[in-house]
Amino acid sequence: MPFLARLRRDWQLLVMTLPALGLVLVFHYVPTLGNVIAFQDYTPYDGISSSPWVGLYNFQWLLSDPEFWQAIRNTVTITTFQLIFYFPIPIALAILLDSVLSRKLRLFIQGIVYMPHFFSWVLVVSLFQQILGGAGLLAQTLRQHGHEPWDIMTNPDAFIVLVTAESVWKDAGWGTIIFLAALSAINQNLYEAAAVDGASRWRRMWHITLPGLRPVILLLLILRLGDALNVGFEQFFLQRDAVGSHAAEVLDTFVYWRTLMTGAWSYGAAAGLFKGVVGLILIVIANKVAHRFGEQGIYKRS
Amino acid sequence: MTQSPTRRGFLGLVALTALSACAAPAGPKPGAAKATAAAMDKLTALVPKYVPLQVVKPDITSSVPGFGRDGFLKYPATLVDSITAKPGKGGSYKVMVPTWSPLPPPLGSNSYYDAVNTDIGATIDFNYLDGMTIHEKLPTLLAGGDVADVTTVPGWALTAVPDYSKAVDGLFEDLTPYLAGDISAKYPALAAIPTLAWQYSVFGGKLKAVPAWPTPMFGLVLFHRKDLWDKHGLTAPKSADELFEMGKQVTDPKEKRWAFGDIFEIMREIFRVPRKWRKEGGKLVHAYETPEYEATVAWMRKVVDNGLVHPNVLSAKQAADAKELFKSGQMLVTSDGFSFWAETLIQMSKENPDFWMEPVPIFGGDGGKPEYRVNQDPSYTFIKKGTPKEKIEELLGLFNYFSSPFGTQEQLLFNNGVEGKHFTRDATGAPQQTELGPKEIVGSYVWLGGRVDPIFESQAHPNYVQAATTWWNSAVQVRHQDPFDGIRVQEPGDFTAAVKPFEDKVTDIIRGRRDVSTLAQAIDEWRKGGGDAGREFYQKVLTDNGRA
Amino acid sequence: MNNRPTWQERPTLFGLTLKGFTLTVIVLVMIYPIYVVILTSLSTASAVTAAGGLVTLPTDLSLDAYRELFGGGVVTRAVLVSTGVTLVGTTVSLGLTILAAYGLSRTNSLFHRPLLFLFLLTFLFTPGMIPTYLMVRELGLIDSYWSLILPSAISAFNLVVMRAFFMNIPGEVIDSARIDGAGDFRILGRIVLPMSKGVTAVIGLFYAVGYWNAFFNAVLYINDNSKWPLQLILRQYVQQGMDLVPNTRTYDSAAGALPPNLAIKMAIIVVALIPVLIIYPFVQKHFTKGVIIGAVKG
Repeated sequence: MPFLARLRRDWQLLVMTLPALGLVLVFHYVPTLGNVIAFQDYTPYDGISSSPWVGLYNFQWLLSDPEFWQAIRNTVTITTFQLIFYFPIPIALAILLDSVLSRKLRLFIQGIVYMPHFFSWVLVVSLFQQILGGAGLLAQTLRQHGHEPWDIMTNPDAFIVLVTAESVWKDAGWGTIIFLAALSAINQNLYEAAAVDGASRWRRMWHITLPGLRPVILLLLILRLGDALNVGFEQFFLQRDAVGSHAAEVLDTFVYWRTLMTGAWSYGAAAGLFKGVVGLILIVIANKVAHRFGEQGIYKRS
Repeated sequence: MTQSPTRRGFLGLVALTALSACAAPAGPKPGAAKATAAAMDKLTALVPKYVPLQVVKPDITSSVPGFGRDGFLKYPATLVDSITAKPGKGGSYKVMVPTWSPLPPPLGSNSYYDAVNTDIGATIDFNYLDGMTIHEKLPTLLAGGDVADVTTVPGWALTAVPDYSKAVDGLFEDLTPYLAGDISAKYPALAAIPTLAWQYSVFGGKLKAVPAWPTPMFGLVLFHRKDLWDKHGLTAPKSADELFEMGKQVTDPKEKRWAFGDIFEIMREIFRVPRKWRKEGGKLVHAYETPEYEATVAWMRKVVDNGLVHPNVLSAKQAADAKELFKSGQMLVTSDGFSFWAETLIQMSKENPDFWMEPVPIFGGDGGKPEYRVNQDPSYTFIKKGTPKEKIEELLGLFNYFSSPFGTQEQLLFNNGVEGKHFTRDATGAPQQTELGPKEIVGSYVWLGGRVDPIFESQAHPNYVQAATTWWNSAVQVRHQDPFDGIRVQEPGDFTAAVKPFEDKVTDIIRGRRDVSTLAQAIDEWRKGGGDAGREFYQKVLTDNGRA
Repeated sequence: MNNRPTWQERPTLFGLTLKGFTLTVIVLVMIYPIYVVILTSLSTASAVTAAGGLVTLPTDLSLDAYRELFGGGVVTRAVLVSTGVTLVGTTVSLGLTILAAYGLSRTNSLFHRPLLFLFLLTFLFTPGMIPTYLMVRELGLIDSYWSLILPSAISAFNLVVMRAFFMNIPGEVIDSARIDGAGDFRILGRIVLPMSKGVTAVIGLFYAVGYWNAFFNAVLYINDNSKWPLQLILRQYVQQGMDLVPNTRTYDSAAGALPPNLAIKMAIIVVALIPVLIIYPFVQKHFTKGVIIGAVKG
């Protein structure tokens, strides 16, 4: 279709996008241009204009730093682990909650499960400490019965399970909300028709509920992949000494120590760009895989 | 549209990785080259001449001038009215100071502000910087240049801003012409601020600020629950080994009782590890390289191995409320700032009259002497660049007023507010806050000037002033002598960056995840990763300052 | 109360028991810490001290922490500021997000892909603090309430999620409206939005919670204390760095011992929960089933 005809057809859509786009350009893109300092040896009071350009120098340093790769390894391991053991939980929980028929009971349970989302990480960690820590409920009970307790919270090998458990506890309930909205958008007539045709509860879930949720699940999965190098900062910052940097150093904590604490702004910007580019690549790949399976993904191939 | 741009981008990244993963580029690590150091020795002429000012005689006199603190066992019976003429000329100023307290009601609905502003003859309108986020706010504030007429910032927050000296130079007035030399006639209270604090207020060869809180502070103090210590029949340890043995005696996990909190930092001082460097035969030896450091690490490892550290402290330092664990008696020895002492006594004396804590009496790791570190980097009060001369003079007059020492009527007013309104007198004549007091009064005017405050918190506990003054004045006698005292150093970035990887390894050793014998290797890696470069830099600083 | 649709079979006893058990366990695991948080916020200094931290058994209860938080003269104003910013901010964010999400929901429309990428990239590349600050300053928004809204008004995540829901609406419905000559604004208002109440409520909730709990924009952009939002005012009560400012309250802090830090910290968390407790039932109401039925049949 010629450009003008498309413009005539779609101008209303473009107008709708403009205000949000304007905000994003002003408050995101213009300041993001500041990230060019990744290619400079930047100091704040020389500013971007008079700091010297150094090309890929900062990236070279970054990518040749064994501690950077250690942090990447930890981050990727944790992300992968959480994709398998964390990501499905809100979905399952949403389906379970959705099957509760009493509205009041459902409201009550939902109200309870989303609350921990509002707890700070410091609090979540201390609550876990209260139960599982070396002076916690579990350890003290074991001691009273003459057993030597096993301190879960300082074991580097169990760390990945611990942080995942903390994340599940804190955010799985809040994570159900999107899925609950998606569940409510599924056409109820489909269930009725299937039930009339004699499909069992499980078959209905498999053939109606899950396909109904699929677009949202895929979307969140792809977005999570784009976010793969972000596993959070505070949770790891707090528990870093307990299990050692070898297990708990993730990309964000690495950047914090290596750049923010030393004023190596350019180096930090380089790490940020690296993270963004990796996220972009992962999103593009994931989207492509989704297309191959006949799904929409985030954007459609054209 | 095709997918090619992405593919190209991806290949580019692969190429980049391949290119760089093999070897680090030649040349210094990013951020390595921006170090500076200002010499103190050349700056003596830039600061006011020290002329002490004593208005009331203390009950206990400090031992070491400039470091010790006087003590008042009871509030002075008569106060001195030291400034009779109004220092203000009717000016009106917006002032920004940090706060760690809840906000008071603003000017216009705050009778404390009204009372002080009336007494000084000028209007000061405070805006507060959130103390918890000040280190994040400050870089943007300085980069944008949006400073108020007067701005006060803590030294540690300022020096964390990269290139702070340039920002200070660009944004704030040079006070050298007003304050250098003998100012005791014009600003007697400012002249009584210790010289070292003034010298730290020199940035880039100019006197830029009036120091606030010039009192030298102990960063960390090793406190113990003396009441429980006595109950277990324990005495004062004479060495780290004795402390370890005593720790073993009091630890009983079944009773939910452990000896120690996170005390590695303070134990370094007790083992005489230098803050950063020590001069040995004209060469600089870093703290990490000293045998004392190794001894501290080995000792801490032994303590952890024997299960003497409270588990919460080990499983997440920041999440464990060390103060509460200490107060509840789950943990008997902790390290905290000096003011933790009075704060805790004030709270606990009401709940538990037998509660008594004090610093573990002075001892050295090997049975000798410790080297306690005194922090002298004060806070700084700056005047905005472009302020006219007569306004600067008015402000300096006000700062002089707010530097009035303990025992003056001025100090009582700006520190405690109005009698009958913000405070009443107790039986001994000491001011006691009313309910309105803490609501309207938070640290505000006290930032605009500096005093070395005496120790006077007699209501904390009847024994407090005596015990605290005695401990303080003997502790300053074994203070660490730093070869870089008074020199403002902005150190090379890769030297700073080498610290964390090294300390991570030390944490691993202390927590039992690495062997103590790997310390030597870690030190070696630290030297290569920036330690030796830092030594060279610091060596040059010494030479430049004629101290080598 | 029986909400079971007539076509749905009776649950088996085993299934019901299993479900009941699972839900009970989940609720217990969640409710215990919430109980601890609320209890600690209601405890006195001595109760917190005796427990050595979080309180698990009620001993000495008081409202001191809440009284301390809301007793100061500055809180009332801050509640107004926060409520205003949350209401205006959520309206702006939700409105613009709906428009943009719909504007990008037609996969064959003009510039659709590059525009979508412009939003997606904001999710991946974050601007530095100082450049953003300088932009806000350049626009004269320092000390303006808009600085608490505009810089973070659009969340790419929310936008993309909303768009996914819009795209899920059967194309025939929209196409037939187009054939009838309806413009896109009309289609959005008359057809798409009424069919998307659930997701609109959810995204609105996300934005509202974000605005209510935000404090960092205020740290950076608001110097005037009288314009601070509630969360920033409340955070002042958690004094972590007291040792950095020794003796600010010298000589006289004995009159009222500071209430226990921990109780106040917990009370602040409870305060953060309040708006969600209020809003959530309204959000949930929009999760009503069957809104799509009529539309799809057509």
